[in-house]
Amino acid sequence: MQNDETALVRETLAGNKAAFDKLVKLFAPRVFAIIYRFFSEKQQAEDIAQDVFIKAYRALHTYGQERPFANWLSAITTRHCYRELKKRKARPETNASAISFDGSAIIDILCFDPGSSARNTPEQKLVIKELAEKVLEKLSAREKMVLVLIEVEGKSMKETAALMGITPINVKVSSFRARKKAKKILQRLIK
Amino acid sequence: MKTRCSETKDILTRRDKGLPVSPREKAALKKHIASCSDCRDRVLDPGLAALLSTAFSTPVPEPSPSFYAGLSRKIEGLDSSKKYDLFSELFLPVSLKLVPVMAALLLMLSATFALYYDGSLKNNSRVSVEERVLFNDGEINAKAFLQEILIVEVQNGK
Repeated sequence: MQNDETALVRETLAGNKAAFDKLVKLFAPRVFAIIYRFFSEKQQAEDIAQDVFIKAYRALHTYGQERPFANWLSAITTRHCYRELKKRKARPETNASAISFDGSAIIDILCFDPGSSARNTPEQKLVIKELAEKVLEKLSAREKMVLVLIEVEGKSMKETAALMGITPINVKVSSFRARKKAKKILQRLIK
Repeated sequence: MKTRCSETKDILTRRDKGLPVSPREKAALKKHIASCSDCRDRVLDPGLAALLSTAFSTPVPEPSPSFYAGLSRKIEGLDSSKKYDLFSELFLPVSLKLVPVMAALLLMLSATFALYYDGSLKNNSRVSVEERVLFNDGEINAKAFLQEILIVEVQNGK
């Protein structure tokens, strides 16, 4: 598999544009999945994914073939998302949630609903998603990114650091702060 | 309160093991958690992780066909601008350098000329009106000028 990717990279660098199209087809779902964690609006996610591939195309000559192409592309994607999140934090869009949460419902979600996600109705899933968004919107771009990569993607501190281009210590600190903040928000919502 | 905390712990342990929790127990647990900060903390840590993983477990949609077409177009545009960039990388810096260099040269030349011309006028102003008429007004030629002065002086018998 990696040989195929390497061959496609080499062909692209030699000027074969069709080879890059193949790389895009191969990796677009993965790139899209990463972006979709942070930008759940489809059109927005597609625009960002295009920017990511353009960035990758421009930087293709810097790709060291000692590591898998997927990892290299994931790092580009994650860092681009991080930059976009920072930009959006700088000029926040006021997306007032239509759902109001009461403490009892939140306890229900935290204690019982997540584990039974398969049984959740689309409405319940929407409520859970809204609650998660409500918690995450109060965090900084870095804290949000770290929390999602660790809790949702299941990445280790080291992997998160490599993906985001920051040190593992920074990841540890951001993760601690993010959890603390998130719990405080949930505490406030429960009361 | 202590019994309630231990009851809560018990219910949560049963929940973690996948054992059933009755609606009555659920209601008691909710009531207790709302008032007890220790138990709330106990619930929040795993609850946050579960909340996030559930919230983001929604299936990711496939990129639309317009995504691939749009990207392909953008890459093509990038290639053509790259060619232009290569051209400009090779030639534009020279032309960019030439413009200010030429401007500077022009400026220097005009400044020199202005100074010279200004100086000439000043020198010229020392020439009397008769001499100006004599030299056909303003046609300053240093050699001719000196010659004419000598002639005038000889004629005047100086």
